[in-house]
Amino acid sequence: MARGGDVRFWGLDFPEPLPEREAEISAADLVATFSAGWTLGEVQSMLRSEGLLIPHGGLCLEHPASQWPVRAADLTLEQAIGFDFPHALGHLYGGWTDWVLGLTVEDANSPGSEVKLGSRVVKSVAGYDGQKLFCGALGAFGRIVSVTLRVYPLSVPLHADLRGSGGPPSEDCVLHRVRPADLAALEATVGEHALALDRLGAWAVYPLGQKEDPPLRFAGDQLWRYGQVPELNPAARRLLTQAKVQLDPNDQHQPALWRPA
Amino acid sequence: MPTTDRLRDGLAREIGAERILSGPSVERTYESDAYNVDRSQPTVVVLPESTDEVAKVVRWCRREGIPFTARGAGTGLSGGAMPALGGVVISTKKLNRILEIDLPNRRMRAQAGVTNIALSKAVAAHGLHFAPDPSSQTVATLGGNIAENSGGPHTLKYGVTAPHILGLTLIDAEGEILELERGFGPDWIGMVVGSEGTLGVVTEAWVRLTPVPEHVETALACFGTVREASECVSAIISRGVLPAALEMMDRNILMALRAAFGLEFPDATQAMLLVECDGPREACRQEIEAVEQAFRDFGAITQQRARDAAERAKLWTARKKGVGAMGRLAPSVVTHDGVIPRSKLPEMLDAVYEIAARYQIGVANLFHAGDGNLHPCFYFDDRDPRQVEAVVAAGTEVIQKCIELGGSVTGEHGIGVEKLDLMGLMFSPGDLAYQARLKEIFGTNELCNPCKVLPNQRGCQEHRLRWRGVAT
Repeated sequence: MARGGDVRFWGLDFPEPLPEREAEISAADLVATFSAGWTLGEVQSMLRSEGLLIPHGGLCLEHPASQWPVRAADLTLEQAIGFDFPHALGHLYGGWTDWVLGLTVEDANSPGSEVKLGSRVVKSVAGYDGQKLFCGALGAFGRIVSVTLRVYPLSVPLHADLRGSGGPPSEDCVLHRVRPADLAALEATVGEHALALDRLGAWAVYPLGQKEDPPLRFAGDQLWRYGQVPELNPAARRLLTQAKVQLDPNDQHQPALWRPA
Repeated sequence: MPTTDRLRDGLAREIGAERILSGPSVERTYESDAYNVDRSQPTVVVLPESTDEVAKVVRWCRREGIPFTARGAGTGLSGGAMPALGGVVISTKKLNRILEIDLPNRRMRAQAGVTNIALSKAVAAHGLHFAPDPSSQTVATLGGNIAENSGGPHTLKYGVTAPHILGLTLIDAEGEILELERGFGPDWIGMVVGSEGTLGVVTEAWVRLTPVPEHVETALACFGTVREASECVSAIISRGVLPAALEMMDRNILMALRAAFGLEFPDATQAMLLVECDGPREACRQEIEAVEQAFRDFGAITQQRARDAAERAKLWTARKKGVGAMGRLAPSVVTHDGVIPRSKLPEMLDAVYEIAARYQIGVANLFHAGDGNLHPCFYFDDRDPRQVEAVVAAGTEVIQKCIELGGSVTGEHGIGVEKLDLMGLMFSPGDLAYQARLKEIFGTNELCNPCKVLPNQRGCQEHRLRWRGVAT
């Protein structure tokens, strides 16, 4: 995959990265603010030079055998937050929704104006945490301009336990949230095809068998075909519809997303 | 507002007369939470036992145009559970059941009225606990923790309430039951947690169960200056240590503790740091040794490490009894809540002492230093109007300084009604208008806990500004 703006995944176009490239890192505060157009790989490199990191295990990040179609390090921060892909260290360190302390976003309802959400400190309960809605929204609510993140010291233990093959060879596979109790059984069933991403059993990716349906046997929290936008539950779909009305009333961003057929 | 009888009759048809309370004693009991500066009496209080009953109450209120406000234990510190426009208080007192414990997957489903401590007790024998630990945890409820996104001393490592909520049941402002779960798509749970009960009423939640740490080390150090102690805080974090807790107390707190409980410390002490590390035994030992090295590097007068659980509890005494001891200092104490980047602690604390001196009021500090979450406590005589005026002005200046240094107007007490007028310090009018649209996602909800979080809502009284902060 080409870096930055060339991402086309699940049939969704992400717009070109915004041109700004600013970075402000405070090791003493474990907080950093970046323009959203930096790639995750670039950000990790800047943080590493300060003795810091984002504990994102990636969907193959730093996994040399990987041939996967998505390298997390190549995503811009805007894309990474928008996709909010599960990653190898999620069970230990959370994900974007835990790390994003604040965002500056373009107000889709008022072209040219920017809005600040959240804060730039590790702890704040002032106002509504709108920044969290942008995590996993696939860009549906508008452009992210800059991101303030909680970051971690390089010394945090990285327990990611990558196993199995180098990853699925095609999109014909399943990404499945596996509960700890099911992980061993899953590995036993799908063997080398499984890539168990977390020793505590966070996520697994494995080929979708032609005659079997592993998800029926493993009662995980979530499941989606790797090649498709995941479905939302009815409550989340209802809220998403209302959010589009409020935040992107002209439907300028990802207009086809999550629309009923 | 309809009469009490009309509300009682209408709600009785929904959930039964036996679970509806009214009368003067009820009105007084529910007129405020632990922030008792602003008060407003409800017309009735309802005690539903299930999600369906809460939904019935909300739908009825919506049909009749009656404001409704959810309430847990009433320990909130910014007026979030105060029924600002009267109407119906929905108490979660009878939503008090743990519904399911899923040990293999380290999660538990409980109703909103279960206390924080009960969640941990229910799984303690299995080496698990519910990590958020607000100081009110013996009485504060899960629903209240969710509404306020509660923190506590161990937030530094384990985070506030939000990351520990895996799913929840929300009755939105329209009375619809929404089952929200962690998963793909926007983080709706993250939006609901910390919304102070203004987006609906949470009736149940799946909570994450965290293993009790294998090993814990606790150390305490006394410093000859506040600056040395506050610089040591940043140094500990900069050295790659992420303690479970990193708390600071200044001399005025320590003097109150000495008077109240005989706390011993060197006379030259101006500030005390309490640091707790936890995790695997060897990693924990390395971390606490790094902390102790930082103590030495920043000139600690004395330091000690707990050798067992009893000693650990003794070291925590100063932190846990500090607020109670403040009563020794003056008739009234007001506790503030603000956040700054932790690297700004030395500058911020200088400012707090300067502001207090300029207004000629006493101030003591005990706070979550690792998070940069300040709790300056002004002590004064509230019978003197000039002192009250000084406390109001000083409190506002402290929060303004937090914002000037890149911080937040609140780290864990919430906006409620207390800090409505300070939201403009942190957010522009455009930001606040956007937040109003975020609120609308959950329904047109002028009736759902009105007059909280966002300023300038229709029909809401301005903050009375007798003083700001939590009065004790």
